[in-house]
Amino acid sequence: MTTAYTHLLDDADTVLRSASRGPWSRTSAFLLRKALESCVREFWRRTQPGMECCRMRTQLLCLAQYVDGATARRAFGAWAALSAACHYHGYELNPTADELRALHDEVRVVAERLHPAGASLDSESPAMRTGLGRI
Amino acid sequence: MASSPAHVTLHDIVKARLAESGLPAEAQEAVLAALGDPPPEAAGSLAGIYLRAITVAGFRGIGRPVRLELPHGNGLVVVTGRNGSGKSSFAEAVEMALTGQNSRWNARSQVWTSSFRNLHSQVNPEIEVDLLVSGESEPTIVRREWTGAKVEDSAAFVRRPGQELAPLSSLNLVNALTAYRPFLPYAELGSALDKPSDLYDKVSAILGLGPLAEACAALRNERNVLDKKVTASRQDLLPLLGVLADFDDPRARAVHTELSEKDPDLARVETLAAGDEAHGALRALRRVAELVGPDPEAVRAAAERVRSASRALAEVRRGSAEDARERAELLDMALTHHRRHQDDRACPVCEAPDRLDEAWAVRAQEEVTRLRREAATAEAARDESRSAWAAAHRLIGDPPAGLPESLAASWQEWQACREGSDVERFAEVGLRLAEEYRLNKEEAAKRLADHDDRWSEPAGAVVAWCRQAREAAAAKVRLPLIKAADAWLHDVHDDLRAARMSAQGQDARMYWAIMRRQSNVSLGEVRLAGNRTQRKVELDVTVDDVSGAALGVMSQGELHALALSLFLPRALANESPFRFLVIDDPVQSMDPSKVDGLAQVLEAVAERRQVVVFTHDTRLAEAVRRLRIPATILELLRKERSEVEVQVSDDPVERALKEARSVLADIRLPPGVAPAVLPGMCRVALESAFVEVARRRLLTADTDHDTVERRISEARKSSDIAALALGVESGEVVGRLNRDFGGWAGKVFRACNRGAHEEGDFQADLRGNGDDPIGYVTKLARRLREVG
Repeated sequence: MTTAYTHLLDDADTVLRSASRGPWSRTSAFLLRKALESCVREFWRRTQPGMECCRMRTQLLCLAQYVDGATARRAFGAWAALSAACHYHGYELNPTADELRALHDEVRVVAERLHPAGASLDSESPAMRTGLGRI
Repeated sequence: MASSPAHVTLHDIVKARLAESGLPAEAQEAVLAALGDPPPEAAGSLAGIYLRAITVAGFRGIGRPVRLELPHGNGLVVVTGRNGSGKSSFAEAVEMALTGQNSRWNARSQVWTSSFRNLHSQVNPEIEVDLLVSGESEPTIVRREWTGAKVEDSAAFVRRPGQELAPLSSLNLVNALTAYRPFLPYAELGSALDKPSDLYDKVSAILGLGPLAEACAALRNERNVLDKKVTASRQDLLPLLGVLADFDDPRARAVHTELSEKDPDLARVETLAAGDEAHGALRALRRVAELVGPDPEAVRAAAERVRSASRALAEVRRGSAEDARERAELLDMALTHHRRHQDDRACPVCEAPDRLDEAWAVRAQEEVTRLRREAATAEAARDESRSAWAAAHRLIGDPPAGLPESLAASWQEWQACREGSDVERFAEVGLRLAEEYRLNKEEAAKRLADHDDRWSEPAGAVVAWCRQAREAAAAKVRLPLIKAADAWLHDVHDDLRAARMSAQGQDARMYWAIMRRQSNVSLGEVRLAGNRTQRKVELDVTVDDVSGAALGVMSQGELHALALSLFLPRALANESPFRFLVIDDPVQSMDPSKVDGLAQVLEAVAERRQVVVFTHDTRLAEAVRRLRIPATILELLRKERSEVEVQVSDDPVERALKEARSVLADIRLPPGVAPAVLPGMCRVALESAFVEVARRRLLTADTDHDTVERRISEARKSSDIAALALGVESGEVVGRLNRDFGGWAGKVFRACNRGAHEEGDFQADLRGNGDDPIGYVTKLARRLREVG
């Protein structure tokens, strides 16, 4: 997979590994959120074109009707956590390296579930076929 | 008590295992005796208890009465509010109402605990907790009132459905409240890992092994007592031998010799100590003391008799008795002759004529009588003298065996008196001997008494030791049996403990695994180890893959999470009568990722319990929303003068409706998506409402609470859960909705269900007449909740 979100995931990984001083934590949080959003948009482009233009919250809420509930929940959870990390909160601490590493892994898992290996960008994915059925 | 079946099976388990143990019969008896009788089964105990509402007045941060109603049945309820909004007052109130205590207060000073009254309230503090018990349609109300200034001056009552007010103790929940403690306050989580034995008690309480642990302790105690008896007899022997060795007494030496034997004959030791078979010298002394010498009185009397006999004999000796008898016989013969020859008066001896006349015959007859009396007296005197001497000689007798040297000479003289007839010498020697005897005996008795006085103490010690030694011998026989019984029962206890703990430990590990998130601390096996004062919970904690790490490296938040992991299995035990769990302030000092983990753990627990979490920290509610965990979020708002208001800030129904609206509000939503996603999203809202109604209806309908929760979790399809909520068959749901709410209601339900399968224009069915794109759905959900 050489799509945009895989590059972003790799970049975030590089930043996390470098452990350089500075605003690395927020940098990687931004990269991870971008990766996740790009991955979700990619999913919609393939599954329900036009949806990728909606608000991200809408896209994530609708995900539950197209993929299994657990994946939709994880995508939503990761996105909410990353959004929190990207904003500066007066009283909250920056996310730790461990937390960001976990979020990185979470985004990777969500990406793998939304884009199962072997699913081409053009063909209908299994997730799409089961999308309307209630789990 | 719900735990009693565990006790009964405990006895059965032990009995069954005993049968196959191969233990000697006496050891088996010892095990059963230590185990005692199985406790009687408590009848009429409650089960499946849920919280319905908490009403608090004049208590802590709450002034005017506030009622916190909780959703029915299993599920997560998060009660939030700023510091001082009264959250903790509610959390403490539940615990207080049911237990009369609060763990947060237990360690506090008097000043703190006496200020439990609300500052702004004139009324007495009052707490009421509504409980919903399995199989009952009406709530059971527990009420605690305060009568005095101190926090412990309170009284609690309970009103069971349709019954009079009774003391709380009539509910019989005290043991269960300890064993399955449905309260997890911050203070307790914080200090849980401080004391290993406390943690052990808390974690092991639900294993139901208490009676077994007590039996183990009883056997161990008996074993110690027996052990002590054996060693005491051995330990006391050496000092006793020392005392005996230093003691100058033949008995001491004899006892010492016997006790020095490898296997002393205790009966013989006791005999020796009593002195019956003591040493020769002592024996001689005792014999002397026991000798009976001549009785001086008897000697004197015998001598006097001999003397008087001798005097009488001397009297009669002057006219010999022989002579008198011969003359009497001669005269007698003359008289006989005279009577035969009356005419012949001449003397036949001297031939003188006319001598033997009548006058002579009279004189002669008198003379014969006199002479004969004289002879008899002499003979009597002689007889008396002979028997007097015989009596005197009899006093002398034979010398006794073992006669002491000092008496030998006098005895020789004394014996010599048997030959002689010197009465004065007899008396003199006899009395001297008697006196010598007396002196000898006195001396011997005095020396014996001396010995016995000094001996009595060591003799007592010897006798006491003998008793000890006998007990030790008996103990030695019993000890191996008790040791075997003890070891066997301990193995059984540890085995059962490990088996019963393993499930609990796995649960704890699972909770920790969810909560730890990025923590570098991983939890391995959780084991209960040791007994009595050594008891502890062994946590196999691994930090950065280095095992055997101490808890000290864990942060406060991690310790809290770990304690929570360890305590959750206790509250989730099937045997627990409580189906609710109150957690106060679990989020404090947790980092954000652990709050996520906590939220997920709570979600899992809420599938099996009514979980009520009080927190001032917005992070938990935020995590619950973010992770889309089904939960009811109640917010406490504090107004002036301790007035508190409860607001529902979020619940699964409203959240689903809100989400559906927000999706529809997105103007860039491509055509065709709304029909695809909307029914599913609205169905989530309706299903949530149906679950709520089903819980409320069934949990208050005399049904078993566990069965209710099982039926709800088994209802997979919308129509199934709707049928449960409405109390009809699945096929009758639409008809029932139409009848209860109007024709639109069934249409909405069908649109949400069927719309998902066949795309079509059903938005009108959802919308209704107003502006809300899902107006009908909202209306149905709200009407359902109101009516139920």
